[in-house]
Amino acid sequence: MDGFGRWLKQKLGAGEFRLSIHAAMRCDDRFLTERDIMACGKTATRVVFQPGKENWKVVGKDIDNLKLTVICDVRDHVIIVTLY
Amino acid sequence: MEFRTIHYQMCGLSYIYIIVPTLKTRDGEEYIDLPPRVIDRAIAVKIIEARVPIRGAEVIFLRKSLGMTLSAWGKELGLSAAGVMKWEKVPRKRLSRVNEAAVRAFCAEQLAIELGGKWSELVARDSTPKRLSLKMPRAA
Repeated sequence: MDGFGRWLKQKLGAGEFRLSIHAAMRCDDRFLTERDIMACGKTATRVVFQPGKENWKVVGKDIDNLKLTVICDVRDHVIIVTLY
Repeated sequence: MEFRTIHYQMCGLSYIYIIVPTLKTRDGEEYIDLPPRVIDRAIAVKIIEARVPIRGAEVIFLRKSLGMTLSAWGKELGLSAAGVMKWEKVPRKRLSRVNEAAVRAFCAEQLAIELGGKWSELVARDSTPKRLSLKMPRAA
């Protein structure tokens, strides 16, 4: 994990991110909360840049220790969770 | 910045609609200009104050929004993690009135909101609302 990956992980873990409208409206049966995404950041073992999509894939665990992957865009210095 | 009404399905509760400030990035991605914790807390407070029936679905959302694991939540309510999971495995099944009152009182304390101690103030209304709208404040 490079320096940017560690920065992203730390920011997600601290709850310093926003949700895209698309992510907020997506129907989900996992009852996701901010705490799940924070837990994903704190426990992330992989933070991978996806060339072409120009976003970052963060693989960690949710608050119940279940695997959770979130996709983040970093635009205008704001971390935006766009998908999970 | 503009306000938009969003069907907030991410939380898993189908009746939650939020009115939130939104922004667009330079390349057109629209996002909610609020920390998600503000949204989660507002939804949790609304569920408790509006006396929404507590089903397995509400238990999952409330527990997670308070940042509690199954065992931590169970410990507070005198249950095992497996006992809590039993509630959560049936998201549409309503808890007994006694358990509902206990969950509501516990969450009110955790969220630092005032609730009356009367039985009628702790038990839920008759059915889950079809729509619950919450207007969020502008970001500070």
